[in-house]
Amino acid sequence: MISSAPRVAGLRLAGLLCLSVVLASANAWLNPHRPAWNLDVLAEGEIALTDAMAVGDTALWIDARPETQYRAGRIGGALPLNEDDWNGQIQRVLEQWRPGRRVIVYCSSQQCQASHDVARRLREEMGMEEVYTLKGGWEAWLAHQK
Amino acid sequence: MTALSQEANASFAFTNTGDTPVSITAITSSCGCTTAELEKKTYAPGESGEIVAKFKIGGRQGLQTKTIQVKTDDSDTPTVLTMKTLIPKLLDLQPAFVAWKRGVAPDARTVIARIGADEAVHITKIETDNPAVQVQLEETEPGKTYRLTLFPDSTDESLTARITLSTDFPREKPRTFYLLAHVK
Repeated sequence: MISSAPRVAGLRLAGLLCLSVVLASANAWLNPHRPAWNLDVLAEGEIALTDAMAVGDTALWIDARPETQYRAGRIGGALPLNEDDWNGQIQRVLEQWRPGRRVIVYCSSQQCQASHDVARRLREEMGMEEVYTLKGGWEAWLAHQK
Repeated sequence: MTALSQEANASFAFTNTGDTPVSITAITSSCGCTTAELEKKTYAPGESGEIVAKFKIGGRQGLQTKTIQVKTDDSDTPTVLTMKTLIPKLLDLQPAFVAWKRGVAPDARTVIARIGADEAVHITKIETDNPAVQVQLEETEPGKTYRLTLFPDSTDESLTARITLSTDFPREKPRTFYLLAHVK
């Protein structure tokens, strides 16, 4: 004798799958400008390049790379601030910052840690609230300019 | 390690325990502030050596973790060396900044400044760039601990004051510290 329970469960599963396909199709039709499936996820405190560019020079841009790299090329208006010479560089940053002004910190690439370290110190030691790190850093900026 | 140390070194000893010579093909560090030195690249079976890591401290403070990846010709997986350094703060401010919410009573706030050096360090001058926030300095333990009292004239408007603390240490290039006070 064959039990009917597995067959009922199978039918329910198929019903649920059909329902999810119908709902997903409806969502796609109602939200044509939905984000792409492969949209990169931002880590906490990160800002995407397109959003950062939209903010533009209303933000205070901080270059956390070593001084030699900063001198060789930088995002326009960015101030140098890295942990090699924190005490020497922080004063200029504080002179340019005002409450409510966003701060965007970048370093060489997505792999570097310097922008995160500088951003953390600006939050923890200076009480700055809107401090972001640029996803992809200088590398992403350069790629966008090409 | 002191608050004025400029460099921290660590040595990582190793031995080739295999039957064939091993060459170190690449050494990369997680930070431009860290370099690694090696006497030579190839080590015979049973031969020992050491990698000396040098960490340039600069303006860093607190616990720092730096890693060094070592690649050899006998493995596709690099060996990761970790260097942890605890750098004392020359001047530790608690809290690191002060803030009042707009509209609250403009009560005084206290910040304790502790010297992290073995020597006595004096705060020689304290200045605010915004007269709407006044600051008073009191030495509670000579050369070691200070109490800063800050109070805004009013909290009706948002403002920021940059408090500059000048010290007499180190003598050849005295350090300056900053404390931000916000009304927001």
